[in-house]
Amino acid sequence: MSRQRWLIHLVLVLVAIVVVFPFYWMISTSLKTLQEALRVPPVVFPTMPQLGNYPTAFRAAPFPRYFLNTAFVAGLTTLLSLLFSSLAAFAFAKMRFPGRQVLFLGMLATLMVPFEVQLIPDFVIIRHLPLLGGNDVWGNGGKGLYDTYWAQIVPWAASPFGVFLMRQFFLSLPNDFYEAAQLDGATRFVFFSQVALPLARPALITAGLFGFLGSWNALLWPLVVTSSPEVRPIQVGLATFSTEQGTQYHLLMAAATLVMLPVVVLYLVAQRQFTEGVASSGLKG
Amino acid sequence: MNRRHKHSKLFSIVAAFGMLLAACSPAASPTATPTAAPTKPAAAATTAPAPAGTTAPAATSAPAATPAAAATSAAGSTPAAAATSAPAATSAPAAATKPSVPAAAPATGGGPGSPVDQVKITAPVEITFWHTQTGPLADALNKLIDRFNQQNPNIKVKAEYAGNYTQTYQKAMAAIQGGGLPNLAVAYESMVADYMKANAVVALDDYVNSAQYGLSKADQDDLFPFAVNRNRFPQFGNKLLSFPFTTSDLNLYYNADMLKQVGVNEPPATWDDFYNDCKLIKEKLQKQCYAVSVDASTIHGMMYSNGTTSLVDPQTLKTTYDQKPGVETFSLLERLTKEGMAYQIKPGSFDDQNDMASQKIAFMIRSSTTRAFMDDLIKGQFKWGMALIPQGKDNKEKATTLFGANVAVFKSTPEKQLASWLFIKWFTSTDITSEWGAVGGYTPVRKSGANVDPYKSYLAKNPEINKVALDNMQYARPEPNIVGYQDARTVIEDAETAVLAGKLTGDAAAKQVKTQIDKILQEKNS
Repeated sequence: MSRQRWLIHLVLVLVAIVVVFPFYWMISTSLKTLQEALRVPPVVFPTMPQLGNYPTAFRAAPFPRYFLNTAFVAGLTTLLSLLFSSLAAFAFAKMRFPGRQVLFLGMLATLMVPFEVQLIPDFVIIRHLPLLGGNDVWGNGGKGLYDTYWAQIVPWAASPFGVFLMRQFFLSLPNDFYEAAQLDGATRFVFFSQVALPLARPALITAGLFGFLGSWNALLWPLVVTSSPEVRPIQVGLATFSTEQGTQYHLLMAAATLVMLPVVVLYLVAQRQFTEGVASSGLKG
Repeated sequence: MNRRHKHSKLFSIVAAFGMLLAACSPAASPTATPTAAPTKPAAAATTAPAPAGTTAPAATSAPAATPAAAATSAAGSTPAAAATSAPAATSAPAAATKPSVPAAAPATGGGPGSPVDQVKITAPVEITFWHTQTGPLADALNKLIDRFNQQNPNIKVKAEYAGNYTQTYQKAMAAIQGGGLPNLAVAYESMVADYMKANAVVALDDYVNSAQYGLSKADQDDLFPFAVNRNRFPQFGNKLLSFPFTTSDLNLYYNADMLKQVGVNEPPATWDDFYNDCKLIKEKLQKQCYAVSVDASTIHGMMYSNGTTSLVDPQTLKTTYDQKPGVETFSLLERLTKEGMAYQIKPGSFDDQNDMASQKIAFMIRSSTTRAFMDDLIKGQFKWGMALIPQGKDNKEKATTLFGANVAVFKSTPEKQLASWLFIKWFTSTDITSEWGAVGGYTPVRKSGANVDPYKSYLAKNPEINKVALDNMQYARPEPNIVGYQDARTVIEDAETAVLAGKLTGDAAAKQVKTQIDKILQEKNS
């Protein structure tokens, strides 16, 4: 028994090393000189920690602005996507209406379409939304949502993956819950908002994390739909360190460390919620 | 009961709206760039004269690919134009779709009386310029642009970073469909060909030849001919559709100390010398000699140096990869790998730079822009140098590949188009090209650029190395700018990878490349 435990711990420690090492490597590289960062064989410990890399990297682009932009875009995208995904997922899981299966499969099918194919149609829609950004009723004459925060938010405000994830969760909710709530006089919406949603916290958090990460890491779409630094996200800032001559890995890693911090914090907080969510759902075991 | 019914109806509507949104939204987030992974940004920094070619949509898939046919035949004053409009004419039925950009100004010959001479910029115009520069180079570019704006009170150039070359291409292709094209954008020839298929590009011939705004004969002769001529597109009436923006060339980088250790005092002049040097290094130092960065432009350079004069015939669209120079090129790579003297680096990476700096290898074949990074990496640990890439022993005319990007002008108003040209003209003038070359590690686009500071003092600082790229410009040849060549690059790189992995002989690779590219070019141009 104790020998088995020891083995489990050994495996866990090995896995932990595999998971933590990239983070260590990032931080360690961020403290090296460029030459040291590129040396073969790789240098594990920086000989002279270059703390100066951090201010240098930070000054290389308007990072505070980029940071706030991304925080706003990613935050709002996540909220909207959770709202719409959970509503759609609830309908798919718990409501009966004609065409339900077809609609659901159709939506899932969109997961197979590569982003490159959607890029141009999405761009055309964003630019030609009627009555926005100087556009007329027919969507012409202006810029639509081009070069705004909204262009980076709206297309991601519902995610097929989120719908799928939440639907699977709602399917696992026993119908008894719904019948019990109905007996107490709850409407469908009340059941959704007061019963189903709180129980779905783990699924919400998972879907939210995916949405948030996607938004935080987005580069191509924001580059295509924006042009001013005032609305552009953090990844554009990170691109500063890759030039035509090569990449300044030490500075890139310093900036990446700074950029990653909030995500790590968010993950740690969410992880606790996640476990609590599982514990309180009444479905465990 | 009533209330409850209402609620659930409203609820259904909102839920349905959610589903609709979900269905319309891009799937998950495949654009994500892992924050901590250094590989993606590195890939963005490619120095090849065309983008990595994996994501770029093929020319035929460009939805607005039609009006080109009309454009070519409209301009058909030269025999070349007439010839190229023939294959294009087959796509004419599709030309009925609405062009998404303003119609072309009627194309007339240049020279005196060029229609451009009639245009006057009397009121201030603002023009947008999409570029790919980041970091210190972006700062330098912005400073130059500020100076232009001060000197030209009626023109305001607004520079916007549009991502790396592939991203800029995607952004431009989206804008061709949805609107919002800039007035100028940095582009490789294969991209310009696609923009032109959508009839979005202004031919610059009238501007260059304009009596009032153009370039004098002396100016035109001062520009490196290959750098200009690669912007002439045989499929579009040989018109000048873009202009040099950055230029560099393919060179051999070598570790002079390592060569000396095996008794060699000169960099290899021929591929035979290169092979023999590698053999010596293998025997005496037990090291490999060459880290191969898989790249179509490098293969083209090796083929040019082995005697290829034309890679593809623009009329018949038949390529020459299976001829002797092509076979020799792939066979050399096969031999070097088989005998343990060369290896492939991670695609898109700059690992050969690192291996060179840590003396794992003696040779690297790269664009001259890479030179800017080498001092920082090597830090004087050993003596190194640059030279023209080795040449085939039967080759009569020395040759290498021309690298670098161009700038294209998109159709807008006559005033904005003129303002765009005036900016290009200024940017490629002697003083400015000298300055841009010195900060960016590019070679000036004209010969006189090397005779003035700051490029002159850059050359003087370390002439043995810094002069090499410029000296070799006279041998630098452009790559084909035929529609479909973006995909051709992938074919070449796949075959090269197979050779380096020992899965294909040099002979078979050369044949495979020819067959596949011939097929692609037929498909893309029919």
